[in-house]
Amino acid sequence: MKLRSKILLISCITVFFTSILCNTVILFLMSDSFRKEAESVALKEAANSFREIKSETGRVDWLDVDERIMAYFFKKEGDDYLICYKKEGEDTAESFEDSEAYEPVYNNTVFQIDDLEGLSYVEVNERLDGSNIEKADLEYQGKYFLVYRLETYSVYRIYKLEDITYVWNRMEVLSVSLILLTVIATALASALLSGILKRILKPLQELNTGAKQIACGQYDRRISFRGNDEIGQLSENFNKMAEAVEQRTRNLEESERRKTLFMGDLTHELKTPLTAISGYSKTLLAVKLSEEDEQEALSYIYSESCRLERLSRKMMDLLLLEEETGIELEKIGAGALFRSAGESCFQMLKDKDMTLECQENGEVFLVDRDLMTDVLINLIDNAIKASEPGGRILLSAREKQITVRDFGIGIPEEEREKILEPFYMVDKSRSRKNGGAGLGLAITAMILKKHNCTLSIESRVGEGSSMILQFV
Amino acid sequence: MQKRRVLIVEDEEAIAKMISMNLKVADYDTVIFQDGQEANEALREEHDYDIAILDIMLPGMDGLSLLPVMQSFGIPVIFLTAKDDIDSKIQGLKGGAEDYMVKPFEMLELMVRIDKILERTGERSSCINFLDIEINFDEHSVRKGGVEVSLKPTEFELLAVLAKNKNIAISREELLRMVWGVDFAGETRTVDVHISQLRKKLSLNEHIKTISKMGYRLED
Repeated sequence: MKLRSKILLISCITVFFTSILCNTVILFLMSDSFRKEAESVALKEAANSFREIKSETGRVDWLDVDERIMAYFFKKEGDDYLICYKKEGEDTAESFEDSEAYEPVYNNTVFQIDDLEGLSYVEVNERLDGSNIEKADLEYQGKYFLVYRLETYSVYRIYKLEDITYVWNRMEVLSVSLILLTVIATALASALLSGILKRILKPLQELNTGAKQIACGQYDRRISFRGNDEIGQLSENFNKMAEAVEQRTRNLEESERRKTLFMGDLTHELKTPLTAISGYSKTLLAVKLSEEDEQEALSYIYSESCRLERLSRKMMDLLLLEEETGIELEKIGAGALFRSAGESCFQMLKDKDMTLECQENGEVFLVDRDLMTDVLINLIDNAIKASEPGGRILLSAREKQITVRDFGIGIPEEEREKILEPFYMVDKSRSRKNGGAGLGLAITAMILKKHNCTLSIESRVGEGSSMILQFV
Repeated sequence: MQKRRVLIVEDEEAIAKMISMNLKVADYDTVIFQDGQEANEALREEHDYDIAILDIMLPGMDGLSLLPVMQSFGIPVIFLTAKDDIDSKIQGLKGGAEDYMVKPFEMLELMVRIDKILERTGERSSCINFLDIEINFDEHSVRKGGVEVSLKPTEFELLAVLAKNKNIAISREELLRMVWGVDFAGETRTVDVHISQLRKKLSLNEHIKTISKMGYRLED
């Protein structure tokens, strides 16, 4: 069941029952007041009638009353609800007192004296010449009456019937309209609530579709809803989450792409020496070679194996660098760094009859000694390979900056981005002849990344290159 | 008989030397260039080659650009490259190369392909001579010391394969494939039987050598 339907249902039930409860209370109070009002009206009527009869008959000898009463009733013909009974007996006071039977003086109704006397009467708060007016309820054929009784001169009993069915009718109308009101109120409330809920829950819908789309790989999806309520916060956090997911996915894809590229390059780099090794071995096995050729084949097998070994060692370095998390930073003077790098490159420099010049003024760098020495060796190695024999290489330090400058062939502008990628070589045949695997700068870049150090390249084709290490 | 000349343009020295070494024992002459541009320049002076084996990724000038140069001198070309994407293959073959091989490769396969191309282009001679034996492909006949020796068709084919790849050992499986064809479901024993027939008929006991684990090799 949808959240909206749930809230709507609960609300409607609440509104419905609250309204029923209110209406019941209203009905109860109203019926009470209606009845009281009707009673007071009825009592007034009855009292008026009684008073009129009294005044008509007057204070005369009770023996003469009969005719006058009769005359009154006949004069007032049409008042169907006025009834008069008289005690049976002789016309003496004593005989009346003993008598319990009544005879009708005037009764135009269907009710008999027994019907009326069988009711339970209560006294009302209205007296007439020392006589109490009494009241009782009577229900007859779906009609409701109030019966008022007055005993006068101890001989007559006058009844006045007041039809109060209208009270019940009014109650009925009231209850029907209240039920109608309840229904309308519930319907109105549900319609209003439905609209409001739709508005409030709309962002949830958007969140839902957004989440679905992201799950389907549409990582740049964002929620546009803004607000201070919980849904607004949810949207905000949802967007944050989506951003994190997107970033992470991008990174993963990028790293995956680079790994694939790397694997492709690696396979290619492995292919050539392997082709040579297997080809020469097969040749040695299958072909009748001169001793000279045999020696040559063997030496190629050896040199290509060495190339594979170098490649695997560099690969190991790269892998270790990727795995290792921390590096040991220590303060080292530029002089010491340059010396240890220079010592390692001594043989290479000597082979090409080159000189290494160092310029430093006691600058101190916070680096991992071994790794940074490797970086410098790599850069010097590259500089040597790029230079003509007899050239020079300049190693200089400044505040937070180390530069390796050569005066060799230089790097074309379009190559500068790529040279940091694994296996990239500006001049493939030349680099291979120099014993490179194309991994040196990739390793260097990795080490520098761990130092939060950036490598920028300034170069002009034919004039040489500057590799600038910028420390933070 | 004049030796056939093969031009090899390959920047990997080891690979180039290996091809050359194998071709030389099979009586080819080879010239190696490691730079495309150098090869291009040298061709203007000297372009008497029967076939060229070209790498695609070359310093100086790449193999695909060298292809028209080769064609202008009427030299058939086999591409031998690490590039195994379909685009390069189509470009190479549509450009007019006779064949396209991807590294890593089998030397024997390269030699068979070279032989087939030479056969197509008519550069191959109709006779092979070794020792005192002459194989005439047009007549489908074999003479030893001037006397014709009668050979069954499969024996002739076997002898031809061995002679074309002189001094190179060929395994029994390879021989089966090359002589009897890929569909032949026979056993390697068949090869041994035919070899012994050849040895007997041409008295080549000394010259068709059994190389352990490698197969048979015809030596002169």
